[in-house]
Amino acid sequence: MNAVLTLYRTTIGKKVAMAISGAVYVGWVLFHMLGNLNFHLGPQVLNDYAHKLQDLAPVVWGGRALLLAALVVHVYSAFSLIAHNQKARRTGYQGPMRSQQTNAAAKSMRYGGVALLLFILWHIADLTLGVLGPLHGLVNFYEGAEHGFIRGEVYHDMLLSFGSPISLAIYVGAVAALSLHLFHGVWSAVQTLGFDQASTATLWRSIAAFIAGLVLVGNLSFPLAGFAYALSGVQSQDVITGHGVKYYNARPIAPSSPS
Amino acid sequence: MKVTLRVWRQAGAGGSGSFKDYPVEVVPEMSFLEVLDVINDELVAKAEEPIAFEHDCREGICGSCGAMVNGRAHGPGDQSTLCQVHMRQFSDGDLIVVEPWRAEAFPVIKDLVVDRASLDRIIQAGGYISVRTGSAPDANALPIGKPLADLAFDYAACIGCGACVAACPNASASLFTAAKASQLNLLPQGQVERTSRAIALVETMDAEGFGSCTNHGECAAICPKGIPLKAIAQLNRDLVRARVVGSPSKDPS
Ligand code: SF4
Ligand code: FES
Repeated sequence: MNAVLTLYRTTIGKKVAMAISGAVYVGWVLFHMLGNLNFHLGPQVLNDYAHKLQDLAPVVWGGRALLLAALVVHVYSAFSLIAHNQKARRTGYQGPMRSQQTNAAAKSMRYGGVALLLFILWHIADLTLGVLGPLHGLVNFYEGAEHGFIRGEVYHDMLLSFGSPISLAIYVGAVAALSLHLFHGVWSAVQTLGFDQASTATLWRSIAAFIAGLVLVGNLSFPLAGFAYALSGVQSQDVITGHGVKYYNARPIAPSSPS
Repeated sequence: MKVTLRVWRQAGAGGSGSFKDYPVEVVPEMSFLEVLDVINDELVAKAEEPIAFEHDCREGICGSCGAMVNGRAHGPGDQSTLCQVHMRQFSDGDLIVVEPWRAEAFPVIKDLVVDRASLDRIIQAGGYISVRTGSAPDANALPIGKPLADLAFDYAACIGCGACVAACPNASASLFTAAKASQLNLLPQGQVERTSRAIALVETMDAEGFGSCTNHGECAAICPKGIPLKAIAQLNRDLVRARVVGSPSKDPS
């Protein structure tokens, strides 16, 4: 423990902490994306998957605790390093300063990070707590938007969110920011942990680009598909369990039924 | 050809400074420092204060020279120090902006001269090996594999010019520190202090007010000696190993 704390005291130690906590999130993002790809298999499959996950309460809550801890470590370390780095050059270049190597992903890490932090709050409010229903109701192309958020009706809730152009724009922007963050973050983490040697440097650059691309395409697929379904007038009774003939789920639903 | 140098002039440490333009007639064969010499001759003739700049070898090996030229550390040219830049790399009529390195750990002393003693203090903290003195050991007594010897030698090529710090968006000395650590950490002679060296160098680098590495790669792109970015990965690895695996009894802190 002492060793870890004295390591954390150094800037490199904080970077290692960011790399490890970041890796936790890379794993989570990939897992989350794979689960959500069930969206493309229809309401029945997605809802069943979600319910199975909910039944594993200890795992869910353990995962949430781990994610929260990783988030705290990642964000705290980031701010403390940014503060340290800003002190390192109080007087900047008065003439031009041209970068030779860096890219937009590397330069936008801190801003993208803050954007992602805000997005996490939005996302939890939207699809975990389900408190954004009234907001989504303002402009929504999904026919079932009037039912608002229905706990357990994951497919419906996603259509509710993606049917709103405002919400869709937020998701698309966040996925783009996430992909950019990972493009630099994954490679940077590998470098920070000291794995990156000459022979593997380009390999890890490619792996980072691949993960970033995968996350971009995968996570854009369901918001865009959801919006397209909403536009094409998907019927809410086909989506909401118990109301459609097509998809039957034994779980009862709470809110109002459009008899 | 005629160029104009827009040079940062600052009377002394801590004071404020500003750019001043110096139109000058040059020939393409002139080195960058020779142009500064010519300007200084003219300034002295006019009884004005010459531009202060650091230089010594003028052949790219001592690490004395260096300035930000048109926003690039050491000016145009691949793996080159400022003294190795020539006027043929510019065009007639160019405006060339010359500014000192900027970092809290490199306070400006005068004009283009900055105080880089902070780099020396990093080396003092652990950039050495302890050896038994006496007659020189037999050269072949300690075999070292060629790839490892080459790599250590490449790291040893760092001339401490400070361009990596100057070019880094965070004013980090990671590349310098990594080169100084790894040139010893990779060799058998450096093993005794490998743990304490990694810790001491990194903690001194932090304490001197250098920033931390965010892997932009600006340093390696302009390093006149071509120190690669993987040097920093090696330093990170050595520090983690020192802290997590290394024996605490060797720990200086
Ligand atoms: S690492 Fe390169 S740029 Fe940095 S001080 Fe050494 S020689 Fe100069
Ligand atoms: S003067 Fe020695 S490296 Fe330029």
